[in-house]
Amino acid sequence: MILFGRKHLHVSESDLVVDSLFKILNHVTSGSVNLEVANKPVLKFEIKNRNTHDDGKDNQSRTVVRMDLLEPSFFSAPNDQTGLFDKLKTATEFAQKLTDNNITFFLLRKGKEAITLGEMARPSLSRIITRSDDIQLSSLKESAKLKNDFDDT
Amino acid sequence: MLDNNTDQYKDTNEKQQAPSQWAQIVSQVMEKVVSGTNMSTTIEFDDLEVDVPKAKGPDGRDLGGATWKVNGKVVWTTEAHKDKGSI
Repeated sequence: MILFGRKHLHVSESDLVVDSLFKILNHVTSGSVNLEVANKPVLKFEIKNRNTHDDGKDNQSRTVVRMDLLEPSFFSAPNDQTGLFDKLKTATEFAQKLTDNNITFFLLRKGKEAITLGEMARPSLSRIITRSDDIQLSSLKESAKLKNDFDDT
Repeated sequence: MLDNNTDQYKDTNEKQQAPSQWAQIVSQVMEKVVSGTNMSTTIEFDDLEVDVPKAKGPDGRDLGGATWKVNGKVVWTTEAHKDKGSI
């Protein structure tokens, strides 16, 4: 299956996966989930939910999700021919939805931050690649390594 | 008119049946997790707090909310066995 085109990761109003993800994130307040395959850690998923009083009047709940790909090549989809940066370009709707729901999603590679999506993303140069205010390449080096991990399989 | 209706039906039907691209990518990765043979997979939950919202039961009864705390491991292993009937 080829998933080319600018809208290939378009998030429709009734997208089951994205809807389920947001429902889960609304109800899980803290904790972590670790995934081990063949006795090898492949994923660590951490979630923290906190109320902030930054401006003295706002008591908004903010969710921070950290997804650490400890074995990144495991997560490459064999039939998906799009690269990581193609995906990021077309993940703008998803990132916008994260911001709208006060969620920040940190994607890490082997413990090091690579990409930030959602509320706390502060893109500068990344905006040229993704054309989004909600997607930041926190580390170009780690993002490039991630791209290679996904492409090599 | 008839063609328009047919197209409209086709569009709606396609929207309902076609899984999203996100779902396709997630399912490909999930397949790796669940379909490997002679493999052990572990999911470990560490102080995972879930807020269960208040809800109405089937008889209109109020079901109070709760906070669940999940700790522990789910382990599943897959093994390949030779089919006794095969040569």
